[in-house]
Amino acid sequence: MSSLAGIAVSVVAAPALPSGNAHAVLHEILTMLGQLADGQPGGAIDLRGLPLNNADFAILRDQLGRGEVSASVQAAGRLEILETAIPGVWWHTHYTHDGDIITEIIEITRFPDILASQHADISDGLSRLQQQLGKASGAKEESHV
Amino acid sequence: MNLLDFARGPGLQGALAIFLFGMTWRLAGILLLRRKTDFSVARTGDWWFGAFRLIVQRSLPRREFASATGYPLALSYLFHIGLVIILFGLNQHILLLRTYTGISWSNLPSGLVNLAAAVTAAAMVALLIRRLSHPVLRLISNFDDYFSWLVAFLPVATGMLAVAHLGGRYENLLAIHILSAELLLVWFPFGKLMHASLIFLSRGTSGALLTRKGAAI
Amino acid sequence: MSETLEQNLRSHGISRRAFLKYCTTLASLLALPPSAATAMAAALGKAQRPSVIWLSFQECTGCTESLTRSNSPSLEDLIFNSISLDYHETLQAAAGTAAEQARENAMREHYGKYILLVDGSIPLGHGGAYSTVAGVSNLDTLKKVAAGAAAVVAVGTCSSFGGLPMANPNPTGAVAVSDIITDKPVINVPGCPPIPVVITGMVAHFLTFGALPETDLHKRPKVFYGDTIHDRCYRRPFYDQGKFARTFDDEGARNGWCLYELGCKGPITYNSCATLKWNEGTSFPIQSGHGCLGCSEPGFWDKGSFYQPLSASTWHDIPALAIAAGAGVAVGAVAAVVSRHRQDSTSQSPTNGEK
Ligand code: SF4
Repeated sequence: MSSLAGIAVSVVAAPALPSGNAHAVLHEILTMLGQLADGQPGGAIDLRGLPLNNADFAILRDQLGRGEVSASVQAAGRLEILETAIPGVWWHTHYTHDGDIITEIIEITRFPDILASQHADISDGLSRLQQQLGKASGAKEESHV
Repeated sequence: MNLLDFARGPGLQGALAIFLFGMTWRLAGILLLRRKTDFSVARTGDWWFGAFRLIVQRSLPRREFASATGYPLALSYLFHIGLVIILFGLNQHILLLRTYTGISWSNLPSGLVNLAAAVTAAAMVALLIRRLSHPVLRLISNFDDYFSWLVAFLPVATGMLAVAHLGGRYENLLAIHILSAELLLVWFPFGKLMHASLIFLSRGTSGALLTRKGAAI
Repeated sequence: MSETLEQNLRSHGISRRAFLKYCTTLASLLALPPSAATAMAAALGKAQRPSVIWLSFQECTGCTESLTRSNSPSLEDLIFNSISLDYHETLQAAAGTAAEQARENAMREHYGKYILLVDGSIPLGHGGAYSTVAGVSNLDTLKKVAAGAAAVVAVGTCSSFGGLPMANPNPTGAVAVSDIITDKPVINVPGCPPIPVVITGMVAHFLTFGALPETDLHKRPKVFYGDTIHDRCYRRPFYDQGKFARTFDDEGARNGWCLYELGCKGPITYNSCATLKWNEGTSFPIQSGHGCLGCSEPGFWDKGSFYQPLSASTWHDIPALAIAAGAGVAVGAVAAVVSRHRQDSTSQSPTNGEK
């Protein structure tokens, strides 16, 4: 045994055929989008909790496509949010610190809540900015003297 | 110890012990019997051939009765072949046999085994229906016939459920399947299932005797 | 002391948005609908800083390692380790009487409200003398600390089911937590070790809903122990086709075929390794080429070889079978002798003999 490189390893991926669940998801999206169009709240679907295989994901991506908006949130790991080609349908992908996907959610909404600045964070930011400005102006005054 | 632990451990060991005890008991009891000395002059010397011939002949339908026996015979063949495919073709079974014999062989694709199981189960059910609906057959059937059918059918049915993960948690399905096979082992030497080991013996003996006497077979 | 969990997190530099995001993934892990994330965030945010006491008994520290050795600090790690954990013999800085004092304080301050996590089994043999801390037996410590706990989480297979210390012949008389604590909600999070997020998930669930999640017949949370490894195994298509690796380095093994023949216990093992995986989602045993040992199942340590296929027997005493066969021959021979005797006596009688 001189080196591991000498051992031929060929991993054959398990063949994945669509399970049919992708279409169930698409129909659920359709219903929720209809509600949103009527001015009611939309909803969200946790893709991770459903038995979807790679082929199903391919169908979903293919049918929903890519839209105009893409956003990236850096907060306790990365979160990518893409609007799909169907306006009102957003695709959230949560990553671990190592870049692995931990959650995928489809949200039906005009605008994902998580992107909006949160009140608590705003007031934190406010006091932070006040502090900074206070310090900065103080320093300026000192230099004038 | 849960049900599966029992089935895989002491259950199987006990069932096998009873099976071997019963088999050797019955076979020794029959083989060690004194055969009556035949004082007649043998017509031909080809006893072995006669024995073999009758075994083959009786395994095929007689032309005169073909229309009457063709259906049950075909079904019986189907399910016997099916049982062999299941028992020796499924990897899980081969792995079990390997622990006792030390030998193994390559398994059949699961799809084929599943098909064999479905055909086997269907043929067995059809035969039971025939037994229940045929007036003469019903008259001559006793507890042994029905019970032997049941203990042979249960492993097939429970095995199919286990493979399909249907009707319960897998560890319980598997345990029930193994236990049903153990029931089969225990009953085997003492009921009509014993035909599996006696049928060729009795046919061969008759074939040899008849040939010796010069009777047409 | 009356600081809420959310305020506490913010003082650690965690934004409300990050917290919301954490609740979303946690809801997803706990198999709750996405809409539950908001409710969860509200409840968790308002919750008092949770107090967690961790007791270690007859164990190997693998469970603690599992929880703390994730490469990057995650939010649940932060909530758990830096904010809530008031007593943990292995992790705390304090030692000796100071450590014991810390536990007493945490117990007094949060009596009836703290969550007790236990790893390791409890030895009952020789009055519990096999394992003691500060001269107190594990049994006494457990009873005392559990008395003031709101809920008990048995972390790992040892505290859930007895584990390796209980292996035949169980020299220390080891038992599980649920064998001792019967008047409190106890949840088992078995695994050798358990998946980290499953441990923290229980704490989060308790804080959010004030109760432990729904459990199966072994007191395991159904969300993480509802499916077998085999149900979610990516090698399953090969199992279904009957394609098996026969050794660890044959063609089948290289092709990633099913490990059933090499002793995989995935079909009877309920856990989330196949979906959550290990080391930040890198891999899990079957993906690394080794069958599942069944470490989250009671009694996995005494079920025969890890490499014995599931369908093969665990008890094959060939000499005993030979004896059974020999006994059969003997009984058969006696039966034959008896009937020979009968044959002889009938043929001796002239009237019957020559018929
Ligand atoms: S490797 Fe194990 S869990 Fe995966 S399919 Fe095979 S038997 Fe099932």
